[in-house]
Amino acid sequence: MNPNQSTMATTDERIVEAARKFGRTIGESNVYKNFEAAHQSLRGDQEAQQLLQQYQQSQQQLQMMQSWGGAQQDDIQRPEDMRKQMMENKTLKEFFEAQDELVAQLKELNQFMTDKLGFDFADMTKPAGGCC
Amino acid sequence: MLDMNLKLAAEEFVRYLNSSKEVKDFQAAQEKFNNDPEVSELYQRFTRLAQEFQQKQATGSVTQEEINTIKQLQQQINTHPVTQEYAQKQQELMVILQDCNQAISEITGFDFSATAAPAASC
Repeated sequence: MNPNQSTMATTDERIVEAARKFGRTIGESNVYKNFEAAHQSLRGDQEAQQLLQQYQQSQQQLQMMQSWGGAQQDDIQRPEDMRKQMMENKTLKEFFEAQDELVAQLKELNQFMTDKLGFDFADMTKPAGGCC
Repeated sequence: MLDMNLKLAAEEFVRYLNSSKEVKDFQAAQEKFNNDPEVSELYQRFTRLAQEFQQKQATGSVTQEEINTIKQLQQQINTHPVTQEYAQKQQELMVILQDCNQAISEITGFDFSATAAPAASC
């Protein structure tokens, strides 16, 4: 069987439709709308995007230096300084806050489902090797 | 605090899942696996030996016989009919759960499970 082939045909359509309805409710929630708005603001703010990019680069560089065992104090300090700069930027601050709220809400929702199912829905279906 | 609409939608989704054959079969197989005396005994022996194995590994005193015993125990657990049935039902359940996650994620635009999985499981 082709691994990319959808198995949708074998799954009860009523369950899949309930999943879609659940997805739509997430999409209509305030926490999701806030995140989407913050994401939209980030897309339209070049300065914020640059800061985010610089932070990611400083983190990648630190990881690389650490894997070689050659990280200096400067390499460790740079991502921390960049993180502080990012949090002073209104667009980024709002984006991270909205993202944190959405993730927290989804984790709580998954825990609620886990309690009722007796197994962890997200943990069983998250991408292999995927980490949050 | 959980948004009431989200909670209601999750409840409805869970109700559908819990009424499916795949979830019922999995839960039954899981209960059987957790309560089977033979598997429990094998598993306890395996856990005890694995702990001893780790301690001995630190001092380099593991023997080939001990390695073989632990491998045999692992194989006995894995090939036990109760374990096999549990694994089979888990695979069948995974298929419908993956489809559900895909349906949710197509609508939200991000992978629901990758975002909502507990941090400790990473």
